[in-house]
Amino acid sequence: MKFSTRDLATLAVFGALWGLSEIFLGSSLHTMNVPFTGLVMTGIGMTIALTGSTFVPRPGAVLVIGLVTAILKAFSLGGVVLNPMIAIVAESLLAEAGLALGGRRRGAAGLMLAGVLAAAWDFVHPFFTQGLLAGAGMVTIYERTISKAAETLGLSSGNVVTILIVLAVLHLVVGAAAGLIALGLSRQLARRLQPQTI
Amino acid sequence: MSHLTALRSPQASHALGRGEQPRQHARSAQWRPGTLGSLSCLVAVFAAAVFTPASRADLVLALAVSLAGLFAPPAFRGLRHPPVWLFLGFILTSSALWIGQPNTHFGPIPISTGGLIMGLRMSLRALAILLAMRTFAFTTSPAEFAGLCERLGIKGLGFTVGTAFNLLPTLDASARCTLDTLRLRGAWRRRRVTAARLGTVTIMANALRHANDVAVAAEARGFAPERARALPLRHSRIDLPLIAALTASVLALRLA
Repeated sequence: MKFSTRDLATLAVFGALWGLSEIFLGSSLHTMNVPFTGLVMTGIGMTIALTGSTFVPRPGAVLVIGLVTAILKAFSLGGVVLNPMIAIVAESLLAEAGLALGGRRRGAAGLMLAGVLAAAWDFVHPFFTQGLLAGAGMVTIYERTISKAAETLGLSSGNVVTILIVLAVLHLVVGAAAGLIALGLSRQLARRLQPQTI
Repeated sequence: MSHLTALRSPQASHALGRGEQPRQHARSAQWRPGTLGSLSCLVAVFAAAVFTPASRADLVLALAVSLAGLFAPPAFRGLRHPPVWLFLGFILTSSALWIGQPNTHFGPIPISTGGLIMGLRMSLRALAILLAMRTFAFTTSPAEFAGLCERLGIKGLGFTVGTAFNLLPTLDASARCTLDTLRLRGAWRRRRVTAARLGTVTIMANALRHANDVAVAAEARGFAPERARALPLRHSRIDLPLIAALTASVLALRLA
C-alpha cells in the first residue's frame, strides 16, 4: 500500500467523516436500541468509504479509511467498542475485496459489489462477535431462541427461513444502494471541487 | 460533544505530538505498561478465554479484573453502559430457559441449573474480554495503536490518524454550520432528499478542501510517507516481566 501525502490527507478526511458518524449517530442509535442500527451505520459508513475510494483509487484505500474509523471508535466513550471496531474493519476488508473483484475502475459494478459484500458482513456480525465473546455456546442459544420464537409466534421452520432470506435481501439492497449513492456523490463532489472558470 | 472531548483528551494530544503530558491511569508512569505490554495484556485475556476450560471462566475474569485494576482503573467505567448488561442478561436468561432440561423453578418459570451455569460462564468470559478491550484502550494512545499498524506494513497510517483527529472539530463545526444553514432556509420541510444530498456534498467538499490545505502544509514541511519514520512505541521497564508473567498465567490457567 503506497499512498502520497495528498492521498493520506484525503483518506483522513473520509475516515474522520465515518468516525464522526459512528461516534455521534452510531452511539445514539445503539443507546436508543433502534432496530437495524448496524445496517444503517454500514450503509452510511460504506457510502463515505466508497466515495473516498473514488478519490484515492488505489488498493487499500478503503481499508485505511476503515482503520482510521476503528481507531477513532476505539478511543471514544462507550461500553462496547470491540463489536463496532470488528465490524468496521471487517466491512472495510470485504469492501476492498469487492473493489478488487469488481475492477479498480470504480464503476458502478465495483462499488455496488463492495457495498453488498460489506453489508453482508452486517448479517453475520452478531453471530460472529457474540460467539467470539461468549464462546461456542452462543450457537446453541441462537438455535433455541429461533426455534422458541417460531413456536411462540406460530411460525413453521419454513417461515423462519423466509424471514432470514428477506433480511439477507434487505442487507444486499442497502449495500448496493450505498455503492450507487457513493458513485453519485463522488461525481457531484468532483464537479463541486473543479476550479471555477469565468 | 462529550465523545469528541474524550477523543481530544490530554492522552490523545500527547500521542499526537502536542507535548502535553499523558493522563496518569496507573500509580506512576514507570509502572505503566508500554505499548507491547498493553497489547500483551489484551492478547493474554483473549488466549485465556480461548484456552482455559469453560469451568474456570471465573479465573479468566479475575485476570482481566486484575489487569484493569492495576493498569487502567477507568476501564471499569465502561461497565456502566446498559448495553453491556443487556447482552450479559440475554446470555444468562436464554441459557437458563433454553439450554438443558428444566429441573427447578424461578418463581413460576421452569429453568435449568445446567443452562444457568453455562450462561454464567459465558457471561464471565464475555465480561473479561470487554474489560480487556477497555484496558487496552485506556493504556494505549491512538498514535501508539497506529504505530503498531504501521509496523504491520500500513505506511503513513500515523499521519492519517493524526490528521483525522485534528480534523474532527473542524468537520463537526462545518457539518453543524451546513445543517443549520439548510434548516434556516427551510430545506427540511420539503424536498428532504435533495437537502440531505446537498448537505452531504457541501460537508464533504469543505472537508476535502481542508485536506488539500493539510497536504500542502505537510509537503511544504518536507513530509513524505515513504520517508517518514513509524510512530514510536512506548517502552516500559515492566514490559518484559509483565509479558513473562502473563505467559505463565495463561499456561497455568490452561492447566487449571
